[in-house]
Amino acid sequence: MSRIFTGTSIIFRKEIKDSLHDRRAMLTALLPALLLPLLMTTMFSTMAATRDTSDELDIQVVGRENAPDLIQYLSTQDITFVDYEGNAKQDIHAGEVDLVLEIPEDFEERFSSAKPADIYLHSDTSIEKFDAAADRLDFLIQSYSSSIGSMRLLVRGINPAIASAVVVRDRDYSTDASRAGQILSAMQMFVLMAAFFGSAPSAIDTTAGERERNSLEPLLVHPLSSLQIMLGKYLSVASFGFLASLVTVLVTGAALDSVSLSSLGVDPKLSLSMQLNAILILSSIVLLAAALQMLMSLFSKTFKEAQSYTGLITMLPMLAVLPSLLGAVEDADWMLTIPLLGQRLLLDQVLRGDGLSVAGLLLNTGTTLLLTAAIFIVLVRILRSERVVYGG
Amino acid sequence: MIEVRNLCKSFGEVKAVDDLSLLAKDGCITGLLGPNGAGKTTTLRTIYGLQKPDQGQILIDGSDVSKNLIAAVAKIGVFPDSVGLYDRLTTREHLQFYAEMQGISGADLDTCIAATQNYFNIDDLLDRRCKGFSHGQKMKVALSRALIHSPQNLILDEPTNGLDVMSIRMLRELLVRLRNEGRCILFSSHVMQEVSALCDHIYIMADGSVVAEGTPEQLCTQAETASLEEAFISLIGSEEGIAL
Repeated sequence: MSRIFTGTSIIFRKEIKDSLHDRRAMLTALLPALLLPLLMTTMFSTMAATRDTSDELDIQVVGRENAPDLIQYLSTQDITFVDYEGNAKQDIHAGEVDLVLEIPEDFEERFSSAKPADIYLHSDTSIEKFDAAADRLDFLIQSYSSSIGSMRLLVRGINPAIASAVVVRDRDYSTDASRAGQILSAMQMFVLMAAFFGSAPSAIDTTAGERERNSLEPLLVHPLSSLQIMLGKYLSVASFGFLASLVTVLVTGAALDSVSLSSLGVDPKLSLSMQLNAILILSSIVLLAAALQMLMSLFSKTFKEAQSYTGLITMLPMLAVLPSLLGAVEDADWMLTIPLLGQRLLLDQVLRGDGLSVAGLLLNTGTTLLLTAAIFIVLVRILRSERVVYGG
Repeated sequence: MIEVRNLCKSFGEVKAVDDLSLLAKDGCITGLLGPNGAGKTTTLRTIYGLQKPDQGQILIDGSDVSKNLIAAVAKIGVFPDSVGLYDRLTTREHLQFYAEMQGISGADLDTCIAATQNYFNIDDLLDRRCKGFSHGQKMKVALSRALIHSPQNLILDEPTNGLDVMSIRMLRELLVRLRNEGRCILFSSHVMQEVSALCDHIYIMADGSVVAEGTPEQLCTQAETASLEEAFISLIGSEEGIAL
């Protein structure tokens, strides 16, 4: 046993040293672990900020004296008006003003003679924040207009209801819970992907790369067993996956701490115990990812081919998250026996604050490790095969 | 001592090695000469265990390669047909790594690395990363790798490929020295000059089989020619794939 360990540790130390010297590979392994959580948090906090419409709205107005009643009505609805002169189109494109309400000079005249009186709302609705503001202003003016219209009908002795042939009643079921689900799914996807990102560069380098630089043949003429060599390589690859997962979880925790998403109806925070649980759950997927990537790379003919294959399996976490995100599959215990689906389910429970079920973790980790062990046995068996050493 | 008995190896329909037997003795430089594609590399690869023979037996100092690969490869140093170094490791890190794999540890590591200085001077290369080394420099590291554990048997596949004159001279001197120390040296080449200048015993290969063997003098007698070069050509039956 100790002889197996000695040989394994020789390979492991050399692989770690070699990988650490490879700055570019380290960057591709660890940069996503740092950036993805930050990107995600920024995205959600931006969403939270744009949804936040309770603030007062500042509107640039041209010709406010033409419709004093309307302006007064809107002012009671938390809208503040600022007088404006200039070219609305240019200034909006330049980003100098957000919304411009233009009231033409003939407004009063048409309004009092009961003709439709035009007013103009200048905005750039491709910017979500201004779209929401324009919608709000539009809605307020519509309701002002219909209340005036109703009064005009009443004055003429007609029931205003006659003017509404069809009424649409909105029933919007988008609840806070479903939005929270989206945020949690995105987080699950990123932490699951981190394992794959982290180990891919060294998984490729230590297998397909080793063969491409012709160093595999000299390595294998040394008196170490295939088990020792493969185990040393494998452990070094997996440790980079583990490092990336650890960084992702910690950065996600810190990033969520620094923002408030409460206007999205959910404000997820990762406590220390949640982070520890997440890392426990992820450990098995780290081990599987490393084995899978090394297998793909050993079977690839070239370094490039290995990169494409491992790139493809980095997408697997997306597939694992998608069914539940789309609501196509109900979460159920059978998922625990399937690698990735199981980890996602456990992560979901932990992130929602339901805690970690030990039985679930054992079942999930057990089945994942079983598959990993099967792949690892194949790796050891094929290491000295002619196909792997000399290709073809 | 390396013994190959009735070795056969096919790749699909192609018989790369066909019933080949050879004996490389201690204190002797044994050469495997043949044109490109004669099966020299395949023969050497089966000797160090990375290609599995279809038939036949290979013994290295009595250890059977197909039965106990690890014990057998522990007795050889290999210089494969490509140097295959790690760009990001220094020469010293390379040699430490390979020495550790040969079971050398602790203070012996430094002793072994220092001992390679007996063969050639790599002092200025020791703490440089191998990226950007010239071919000759890489070869020095690869040869040091093969010799780090002072193996009794040394196998070299086309060692002079792509080398400059200085490096070839250095290699020749090294091989003669190791022979005089009583080691067993087996190397392949398609360059007649190399083989005739160095070898005590020569196997001439063509189409996967040994077509002739013996000392240089025996080969001349056998082919009824005055020079070894003419003997090679007459024994192989063609000049194709052979270099002077």
